[in-house]
Amino acid sequence: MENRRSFLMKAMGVACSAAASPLITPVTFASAPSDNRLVVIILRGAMDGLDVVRPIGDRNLKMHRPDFVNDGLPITDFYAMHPTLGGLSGLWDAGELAFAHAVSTPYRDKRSHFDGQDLLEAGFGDLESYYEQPVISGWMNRMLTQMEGVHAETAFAVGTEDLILLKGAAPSSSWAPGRTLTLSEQGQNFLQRIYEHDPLFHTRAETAIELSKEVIADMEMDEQQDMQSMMMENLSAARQSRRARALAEFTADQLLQSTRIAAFSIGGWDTHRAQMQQINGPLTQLAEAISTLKQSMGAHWEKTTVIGVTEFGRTVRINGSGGSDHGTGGAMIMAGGAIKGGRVYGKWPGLRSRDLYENRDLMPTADLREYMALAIRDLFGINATTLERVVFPSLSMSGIPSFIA
Amino acid sequence: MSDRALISAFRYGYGLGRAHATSSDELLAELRGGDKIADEFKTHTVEDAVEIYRNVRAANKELSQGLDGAKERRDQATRARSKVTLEGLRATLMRAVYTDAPFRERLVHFWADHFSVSAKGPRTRLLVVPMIDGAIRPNISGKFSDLLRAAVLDPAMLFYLDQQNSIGPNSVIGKRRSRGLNENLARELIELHTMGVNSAYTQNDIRELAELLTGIQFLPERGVIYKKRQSEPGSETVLGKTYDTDRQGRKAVDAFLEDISLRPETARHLAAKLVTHFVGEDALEALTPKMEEAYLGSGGNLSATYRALLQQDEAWRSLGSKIKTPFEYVVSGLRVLEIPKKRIKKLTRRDYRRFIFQPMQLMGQSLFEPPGPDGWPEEAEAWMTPATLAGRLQWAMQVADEVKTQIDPRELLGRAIGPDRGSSALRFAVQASENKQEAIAMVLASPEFNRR
Repeated sequence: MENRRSFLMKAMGVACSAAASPLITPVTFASAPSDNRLVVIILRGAMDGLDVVRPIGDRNLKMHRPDFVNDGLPITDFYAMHPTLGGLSGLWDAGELAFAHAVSTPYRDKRSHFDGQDLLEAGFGDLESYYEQPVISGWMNRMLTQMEGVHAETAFAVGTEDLILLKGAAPSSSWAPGRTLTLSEQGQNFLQRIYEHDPLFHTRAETAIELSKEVIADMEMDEQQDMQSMMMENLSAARQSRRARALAEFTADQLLQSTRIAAFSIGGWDTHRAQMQQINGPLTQLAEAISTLKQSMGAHWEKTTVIGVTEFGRTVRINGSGGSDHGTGGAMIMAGGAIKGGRVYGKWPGLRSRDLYENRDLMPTADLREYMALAIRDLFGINATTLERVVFPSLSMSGIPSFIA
Repeated sequence: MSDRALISAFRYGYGLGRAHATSSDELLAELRGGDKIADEFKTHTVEDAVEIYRNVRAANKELSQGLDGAKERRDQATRARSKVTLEGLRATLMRAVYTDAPFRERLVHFWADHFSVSAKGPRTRLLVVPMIDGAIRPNISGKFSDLLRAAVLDPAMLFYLDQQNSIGPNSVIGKRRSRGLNENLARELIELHTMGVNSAYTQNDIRELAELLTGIQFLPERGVIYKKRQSEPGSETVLGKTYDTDRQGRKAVDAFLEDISLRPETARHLAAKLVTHFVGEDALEALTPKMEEAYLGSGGNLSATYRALLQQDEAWRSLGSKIKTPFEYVVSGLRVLEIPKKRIKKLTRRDYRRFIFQPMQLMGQSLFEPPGPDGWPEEAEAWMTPATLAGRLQWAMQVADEVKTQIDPRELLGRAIGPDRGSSALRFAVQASENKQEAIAMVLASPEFNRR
């Protein structure tokens, strides 16, 4: 059987085998990139959907989470939102914030972060068929192959990470804060030639050299504020918020130009203990990122959709240390002027022991890929057949309502 | 220079420029004898970590109570903490740069990554370095079960994977405080540390193992102990075998670790990780069967496993399918530039931050802060995004600026990548560049120097 590691080896062969892949052979082209914008935030570490969007109307919640403090902000008759997302209340009231509950990718049972995240970004129905592909590709990249007029700036991965989401045949760009470098014209030319015989370096060189010309103020700020704390020190809450804001500001800058699709990630959701404290850090960053996007997008917020997704949910019962362990069903978050917000989507599975998946996890009642597929269909005009065959293989659209206005 | 010498240096060491082995026998010889370099650059102990942690906590409490002079005491306590964390980073770097046994150092980093603990928490920040020095370093060439036991039951790991907070729900303490299990360590122990995610185990095995591990606790005064009053009563069945902590206490945990260390899935997982890290994934099929055989045949002996790797021809195939991690890149750069020890010793904290650790962050790696318990990525692509390549270029320019008056780039080329190696484009650029700093930077930024 192929495993993740042997599969990743294929990354080396992207250039030569791409043309042979049935997945990236365009089936039908969508119209040219529209005026709509899509931002996907990967919430790494498995966000506890039950804590972020609390089903306070389910009387069994208290049984599983006896120490549960009812300090959430009621948003519907049944649900309350985590208080740390309070800064987003205005968006909720304006119909620009929504959630979908009891969703998951098709990943089941082993509850490994790493496999779960791979599948979330790859967009496949199961890991085996993902591993069988001749080249690595993420669902966002396969979506780009179905659009006309795509250029390197159409999609952006923001941050230093290597996102599977955007890997594949279609061109895309990436950016991270805090880099300065000045090579002479001659030095740049030499370097290009030095990299020419090595595809891995060659394909990244041009952008790397371009990046080196951007001077970002963030590094200087860090320098001053962190003089007494080495990089080993914990990132302070303020610094984490600043990072989230910097990522969101850069993302908005690009989206106001020719970029239409962007992705970045926010980590820290693996709240195995003291969840009541631990979840505040990543929630603050998430709220900061969304607020910053709204502010910076200005009038184009109307055309913007933000989706936050995580690899799986967490156990319904609180564990022995005030946290939760790896689970299955969870929640996703949607924001933007382009959505029909002010509601929680999805069919609630209930919390009686027999309602749970393996008597421990929230039972998923929808494939979260379907929500993403609906967004792509409505924002970029890619048809359902293409979505089910190319972007999210093995997905079958069940007919749940779209959240795009 | 023989091919084997070059490969020993790049694949199994930190490159050329300083002492390195030239054959498999010399590589294995590095693992015998005393650990000289660790004695030369010392780090703090678990006891130091506990004391510093407590001082900071006490000072913070005083500060919140508004006691006189509390701010000075808090500053003093946090300064002491910054000092040892910096010493840990500095010792780690210096050992790798100045060691005469680079293969040993590479293995320490390999196993520290296999048993990844991130230094992001207030306790793990202080405990990671003592774990690497106390649990990993002394155990890299003996039985894997010794390494496994030391690493998994180390205070840093117990905090990082929440074992400190896992309590048998039916134990005395569990019932009294109505607390219970946390299955984080149990899951990663099977998924990452031993059998691997692709082997056959169930959620039930994880649960039973979590119950088996309850009772294992780190107490600052007594170290890691087995605390019966919080151990889940009754025996646990993990992977088809039953372990009775009621009667055997901690010995039952040790017996489980011994059993799982000798499973064929574990042999396969460890062999695959070693090959993937040192040689590359495409060599798995060729190299792992003999290593698994040697591992199982020797009762899980790691030196025997390394020997089985190094005795095969494929382990000496041509270089280039891997990309050095940012740490390896920086270390090999400093080795080849032959920066005198006393000059590095003089660097201030600010210098370290600007010249070593911040650049490494821009290349995608914060030392001791891997993204998760699965450690740093192995794929060449993961280390080579446009943004992280820009980070490597920037560091190359930075250090080249520091050393440009003492180094001839043409002479550096052969010393850095080996005589008669390098593309014609690289040779031409180093000759023709009008700027010495850029010529040095191009050697360091070249694919030939970054691949191994």
